[in-house]
Amino acid sequence: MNIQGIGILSGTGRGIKSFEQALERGPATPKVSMYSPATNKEIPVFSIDNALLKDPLVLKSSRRADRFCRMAVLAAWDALADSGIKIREEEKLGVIVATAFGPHKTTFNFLDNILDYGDAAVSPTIFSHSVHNAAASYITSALNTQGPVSTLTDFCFPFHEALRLAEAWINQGRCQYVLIGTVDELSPAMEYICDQKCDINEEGKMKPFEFSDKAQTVPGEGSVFFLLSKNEENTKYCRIKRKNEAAVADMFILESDGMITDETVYKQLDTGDANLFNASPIFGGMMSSTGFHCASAALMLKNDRIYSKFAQDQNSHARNSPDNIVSVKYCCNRNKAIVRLTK
Amino acid sequence: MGEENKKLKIIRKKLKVLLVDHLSLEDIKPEDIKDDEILFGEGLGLDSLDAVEIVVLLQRNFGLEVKDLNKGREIFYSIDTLAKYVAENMDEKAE
Repeated sequence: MNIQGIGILSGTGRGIKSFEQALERGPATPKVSMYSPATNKEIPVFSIDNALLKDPLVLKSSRRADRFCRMAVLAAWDALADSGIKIREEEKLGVIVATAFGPHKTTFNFLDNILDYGDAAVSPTIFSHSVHNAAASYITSALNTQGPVSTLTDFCFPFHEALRLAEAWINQGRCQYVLIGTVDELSPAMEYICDQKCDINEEGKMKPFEFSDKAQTVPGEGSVFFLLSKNEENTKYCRIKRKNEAAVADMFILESDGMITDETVYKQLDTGDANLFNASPIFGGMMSSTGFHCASAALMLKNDRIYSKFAQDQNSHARNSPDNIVSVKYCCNRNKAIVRLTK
Repeated sequence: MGEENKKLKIIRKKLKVLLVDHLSLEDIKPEDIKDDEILFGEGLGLDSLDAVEIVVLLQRNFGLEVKDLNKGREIFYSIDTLAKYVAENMDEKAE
C-alpha cells in the first residue's frame, strides 16, 4: 500500500510539518503532570495542549466529542487534507481506528457516574462516548465517508493489526483508499498506571538505545493517521507493508520506548549493518506508538534524509539515506511485529 | 416575594453553569445565556441530545424527573421556564 497523506497530533503539535520540525530540532522537553493531587507526585509527560484540540471548522459538528475523539478526528482530517486527493463517492474511503486503551478517560468517567448518581442518572452522552468506536463514528461523520469502518483494540500491536485489515479491504476491493490511524490519550488513570507499571524517567529523558532490562519511559499521547492507497499508484511518501519477519533494511526503527520493562531483546538488531533510529523522545512512550515511528520513516524516505538526532549513529553523513526502513516492535511476551516502509 | 425572586435568581445561575459545563457549550460563558433566551433551535442551538442531558441534570442536581415530553417542551423553553419549574418542584433535600 502507498502512504498518500499523513495527519499527526502529538506533544510536538499538530500537522506533519510540525512533526517534521520536531524531528529537526531533536529531543523535546516534556511537560509536568500531577496525576493525583493526593500524592502530590509529579511525573513528566508528552501531553497535548487542550488549545490544539479546538478547531471550529473540523470539529463544527463534534461539540460533544471528548479528547480522545477530537485527537482522532483532527489527525484523520489532516491526513486526507495532506494527500490533496479528492476521493469520489464510488471509490469509497475506509476508516480504521487502532488503539491500545480506547477512550478510557470517558469510560472511567462513565463508571464514576454510576457510582455517584446511580445507573438511572448516568449521562447518555458520556455513555455513548465510552465505547471504543466513538472516534471512528466522529471521523466518518466529519469526512462524510461511505466506506467500511472499524475500530481495532489491541494492547500490543494495534497499528499492525489495522494495517493487516486495511490491506485485506483494499485487496478485496471493498474500498480504494483507507484512512488508518492510532489514537491513545493520557489521563490521571493512565499516568497512575504508567507510574506503577513502568519506570518513569524523572528527568523526562528517553534512552531508546540503552537496551536495558530496566528501561525507562516518559508517557505520551497522540494520534496519527495515514491515507493509504493501492500499491500500483504513485506514492506521495512511501510504500508500507506489515511483515512477519525483518528482512534486510538500511535502517531499523526500534520501538524501544520503555513501555515494556525489558528492552534487551532489541539488542539483537544492533549488528552494525544498519543504522538504528527512535524518535520517541519527541512524542513519548505509547503502546500504540508504531504509527508515529512510521510517520518518521515516511518523512525520511520522502525527503531522502536521516533525522540524525534520533539515530544511534548520529554521524549519519557516513550512512546513505535509507531506501527501506523496518520498524520493529516487541511486546511483553517477546512477540514482535514489523512494518516495512520502502521508497 | 423577594425571597422567591432570590431563590429563582440562584437557580437560574446554577442552571446556566450546569448547561455550559455539561453540554460542552464551547466559547459560551454562563453569563452569556440570557434568562429568556430560547434554548433549543434558533436560540442557544441546543438539540434533542441536549434535552436528554438536561433531564439527567435535573434529576441529579434537583431530584426532579421530567417524564412527560409535552410538558418538557414548555419547561425547557428558556432558563426562566426551567428555573420556575425547578423552584416549584424541587425536592427540599436537593436545595
